[in-house]
Amino acid sequence: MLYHYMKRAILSVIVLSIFFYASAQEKTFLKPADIYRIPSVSDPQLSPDGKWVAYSVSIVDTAKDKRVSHLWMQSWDGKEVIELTHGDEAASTPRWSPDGKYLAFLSARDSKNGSQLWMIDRRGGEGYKVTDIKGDLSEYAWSPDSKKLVLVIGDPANKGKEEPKTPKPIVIDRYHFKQDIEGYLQHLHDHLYLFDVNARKLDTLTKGDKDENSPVWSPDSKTIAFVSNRTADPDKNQNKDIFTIDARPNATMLQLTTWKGRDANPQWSPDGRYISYLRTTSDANYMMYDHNVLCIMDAVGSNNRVLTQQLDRPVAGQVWKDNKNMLFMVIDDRQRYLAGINVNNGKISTLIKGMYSISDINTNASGNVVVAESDPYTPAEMFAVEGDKLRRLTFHHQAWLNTVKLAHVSGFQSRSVDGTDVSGILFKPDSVAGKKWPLILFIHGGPVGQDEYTFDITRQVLASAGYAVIGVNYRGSNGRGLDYCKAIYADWGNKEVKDLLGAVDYMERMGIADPNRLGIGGWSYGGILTDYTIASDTRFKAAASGAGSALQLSVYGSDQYVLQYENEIGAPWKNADKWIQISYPFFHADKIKTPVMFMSGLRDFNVPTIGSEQMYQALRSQGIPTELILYPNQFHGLTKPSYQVDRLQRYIEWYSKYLK
Amino acid sequence: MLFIVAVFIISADTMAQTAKRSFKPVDLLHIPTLEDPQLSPDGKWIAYSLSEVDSAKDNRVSHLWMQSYDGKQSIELTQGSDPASSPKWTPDGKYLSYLSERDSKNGGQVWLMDRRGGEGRKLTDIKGSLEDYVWSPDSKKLALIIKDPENKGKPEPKTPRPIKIDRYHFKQDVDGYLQHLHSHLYIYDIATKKLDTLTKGDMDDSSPVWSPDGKTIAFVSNHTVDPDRNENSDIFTIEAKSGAEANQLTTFTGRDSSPLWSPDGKHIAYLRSTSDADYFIYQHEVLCLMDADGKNNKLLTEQLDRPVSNHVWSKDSKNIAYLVSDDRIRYIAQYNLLLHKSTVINKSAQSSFENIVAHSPGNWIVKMTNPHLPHELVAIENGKIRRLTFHQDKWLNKVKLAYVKGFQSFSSDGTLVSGILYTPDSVVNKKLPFILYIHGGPTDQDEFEFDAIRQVLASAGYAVAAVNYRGSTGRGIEFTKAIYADWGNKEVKDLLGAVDELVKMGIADPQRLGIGGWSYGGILTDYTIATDTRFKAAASGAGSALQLSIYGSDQWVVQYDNELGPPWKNAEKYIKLSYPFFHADKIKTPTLFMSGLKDFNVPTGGGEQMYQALISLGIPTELVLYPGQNHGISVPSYQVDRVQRYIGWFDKYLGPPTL
Repeated sequence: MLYHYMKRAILSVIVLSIFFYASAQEKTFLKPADIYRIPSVSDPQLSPDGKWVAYSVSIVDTAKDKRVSHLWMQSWDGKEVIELTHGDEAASTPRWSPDGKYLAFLSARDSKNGSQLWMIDRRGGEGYKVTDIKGDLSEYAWSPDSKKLVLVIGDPANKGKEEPKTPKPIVIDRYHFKQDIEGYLQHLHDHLYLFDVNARKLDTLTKGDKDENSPVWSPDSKTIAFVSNRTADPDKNQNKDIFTIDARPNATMLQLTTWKGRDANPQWSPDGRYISYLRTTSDANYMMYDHNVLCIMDAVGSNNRVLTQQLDRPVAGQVWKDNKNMLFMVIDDRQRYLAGINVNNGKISTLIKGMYSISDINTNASGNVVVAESDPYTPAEMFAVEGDKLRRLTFHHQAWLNTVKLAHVSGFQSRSVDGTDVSGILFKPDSVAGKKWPLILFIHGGPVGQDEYTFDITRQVLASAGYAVIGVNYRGSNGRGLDYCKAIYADWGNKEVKDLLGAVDYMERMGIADPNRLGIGGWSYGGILTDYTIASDTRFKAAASGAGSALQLSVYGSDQYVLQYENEIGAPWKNADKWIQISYPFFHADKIKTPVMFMSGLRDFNVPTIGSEQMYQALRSQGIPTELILYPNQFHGLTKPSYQVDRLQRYIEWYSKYLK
Repeated sequence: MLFIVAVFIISADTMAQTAKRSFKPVDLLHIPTLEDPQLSPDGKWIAYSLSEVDSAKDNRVSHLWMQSYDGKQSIELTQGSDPASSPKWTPDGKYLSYLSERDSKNGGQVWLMDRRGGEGRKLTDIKGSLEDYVWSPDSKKLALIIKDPENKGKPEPKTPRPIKIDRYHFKQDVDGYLQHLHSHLYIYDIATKKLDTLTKGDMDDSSPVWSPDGKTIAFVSNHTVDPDRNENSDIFTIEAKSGAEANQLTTFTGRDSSPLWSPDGKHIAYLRSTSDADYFIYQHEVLCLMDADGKNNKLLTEQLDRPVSNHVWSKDSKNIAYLVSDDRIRYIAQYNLLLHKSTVINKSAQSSFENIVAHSPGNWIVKMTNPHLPHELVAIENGKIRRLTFHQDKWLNKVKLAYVKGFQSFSSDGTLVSGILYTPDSVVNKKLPFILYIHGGPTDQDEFEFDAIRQVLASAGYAVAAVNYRGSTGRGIEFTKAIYADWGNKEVKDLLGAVDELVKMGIADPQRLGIGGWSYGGILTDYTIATDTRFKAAASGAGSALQLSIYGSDQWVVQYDNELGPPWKNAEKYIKLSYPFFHADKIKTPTLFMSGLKDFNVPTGGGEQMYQALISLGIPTELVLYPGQNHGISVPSYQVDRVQRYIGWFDKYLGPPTL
């Protein structure tokens, strides 16, 4: 086995080097339009026998200008890869029946009511539609005995009737009434339903004016654990708890957790004894600067224990490997690594860690473990975890990667004016030292998130256009511990700006950035920080502020974050001075000298278009070169492939106009 | 004559007591709208458009009608589900032209109806938006205003192109995001169907009028470096042939508009703003006259100190008739060129006029409305009114309307303020639950006219008041200007003074006071409830309170930069004018907020933010959003929904009135 593997690996290396060498001449720098060629690989699911990994691959349909995902299946031995679904309509969320007989998935194919559950018989044949549900089918899980499915269905809009020709007036009476993608929030809720596979019968499990999500079956197929916020007004806090309910109609739910923060992502241990879950560290009604810790409790909710308190890093995606051990991801300084824990002795071990990022873990009784992994030069592919090694299973990116030249990526650290050490990632057109480049500081959103060693299309394209590009994990980012993240609480645009400028100073000192050709940009909180930074320092010659805001008073009540504002900043009528202080780029717009291109999706409820409009207006009023680019029908994240390409092209044009 | 009228009133009253039901929200669907009267060259017919609700399609469809001047004949000229509008007679009287989108892929086109007989036929096939058209005096040509077509006239791609904004003024209600589509003047030859470009460039041209000799066209345009930054439109003339150069006639740095050649071709009458500032909202138009070459400009109505509109030359070029907005009415006056003075043509105590058309010396045709009659056409013959059309009678005969009368009040600072009161009946026996319903603008006034919203509210059992607070027109420029850069101060004093007066008069029940309005009326609702907690219910439509939020997110940036200054230079002023938001905790009034989701005049954020503040404070509140609607709600079912929700909300918090 080892021999075969080695031989094949060596062979591939030889073959690949020849190929690389042969094509080296023809390789061109990555360009915005390459977005059309990049698939997205996600959601690995091991078959019960461990022999196959099902997953979804979405590719761009340029004629329709959208991404369409289809299901694929890769053999564990690496030899076979099969596309399972085809056609114009997407298929996603593959889930094997535990008895191995079916592969279920979601698709809106042949449906008037949105996504439905489909199944492929593993013995052969095309997929067939199993449900015809009105409402929004968002999640589902097989019962361990393969007889039932638990479904999460959102109440249908307009009570399941056809939308009248004149849409009904929207009546808002909730505290939290806007949410990106969902739109204006009324009283549609997610509930649990049981679907009997043989009888094709749907039973209601939960109802009411709360939401129930994340259902998981107990190993004996009798009980379902799920997550719900059942406080008097769930709009006013994030106090989600874990509940269980018998898997039969009219059963009563049982609350397992009582932490006032958020309890989420329950996972039963294979023997049914424990439920592991994730919990926030803060028990406030709302705390943005927080992370999840891994917890465990008995299946009845007693003996809750936090397992990763000392780690001081966000934990995600835990799975049970056996009755004693769990695997999970840890977000740590520009990396996302695979760790394990023995729940008996609490010992945490680092399993797979390096200059890359693990984004998904799947395992089952077969004992095999598959993860999705990306590095700075490769978007996510599927890998088998073998001991402390990864074995690449899928090669969906090879074709296009073979034709392009990527920027060189390295890490760096800078020290801010107040002495804080800050981690960053540098992208350069080549690896040659000593060359000076025009610089683009491209700032990540969040703020609670981090730039990781993953394939980063935006920074790659910008670097390929002839810039040094940096990603900087300013304070507020995660991966450096909770205090680092919390540092910006109710103090926006202060320490972040110090950290960003510290990184730019460092790049200048290192002779990498040309101090006369500095650009800046970002999306979401990255756009917000672009505004803060150019209002603090006039050295930037060009900026691109996407989905940002500066007059933070304007987003109170017009975006989705009212709960954060009232908890972190206070109501505007009680704390106006604070609001005015954190809106300094607008109230001191006359300090800005940087030409800025503002961008926004016109249906963005996360950072609404007004954030860009107001700063555009302020700059335009003063005669500073500025442009506002609006993307019709787009939410906070641009999803239209042609708009994603357009945005990158406009970045390059704007920066080259003022930096080159 | 007088006797007959009296008999009619008595019989109408008798009928009311037996068969008439009260006016209801759904009656909004029954009210036709009459517009655009046009007199045939022989003076025998008046063509106009009449729009009626198609409830199945939930829209208003306008069709052309024709009324004989002698009052005897009324004919509907166009039919079908595609609307027809903007009727114009060819000067030779052979055709009636109009605009319709029927059989067109490129929006509205000019259609012709042969007066000898036959259906209309499509004349033009223009790409771009046809905004105005005027017949040349010889009936051979049309002057057209065409706005550049979207997407250069090509079909919209499946994925709409990203919108690139680089203008100072970049949002406008109904128009949407403003890019670089401009309106220009074109000449269309009827015989050859050839279109010639007269004007082009990065500005807009409008209001074309032909000189009587057919050689020259006067029009309005703003030729300053950046027309987004001021309102300095001027009057230009251009020879009616391609390649001609425009000639600027006026130089006033305020707004010159609405040029009209005298029939003898000697003069151009026009309107001018009182202020020469880059932007000034608290002002009005003055009637002016100049020679056709732009010399000898004279202001004709400066001493009047009232807004003038809708000027029209008499056919003998001796008089210019015009409308005057004066304390709750709009009357007709005329300026005589020989006597150099103005006289009143008709000033009725409780009526308002629109759309004057010159018939023959001494005789005019005009649209008239009063509190119990939506617009109909009347002839004014030597000052006397003769009604011509009767489109409203069908539904009016079935309903009982509220009683309407004027009142005046003194504000706490001594200002005398005019208002109009609506009560369910002429006799008020007991105190009534009360709604102060505030007009928008602010530069406008409530007039004695048919007011569907206040009629519905009063018919639901409320006393309803309209108040011409300072900032309104009709009381002189000083009254209008009083609120400059001082929003929510004197207006609120005037509104509260009127409420005090109606309480004192025993009409408004002080325990059951409601307030509401749309646009600046919604803004004033927010100001008023943040000033005085006595109101038990409010309905704030298309309003705003945090005025910082609308800088750059609505269409008024040139006003803000001029009147308040940029926010980074004058933050304190903006914060002061935003007191209902910054002191939202003073508000105790349950408030229903409303907005059209495509409103760029007062965007939805204005309602959202105050809704969010009140719900956070635990004050009963609701936000009702109308999909696809601009600042004015135009979908008929939404218009009905809005007044139904008003009544529901006021009934809930004021207690349902006992009728």
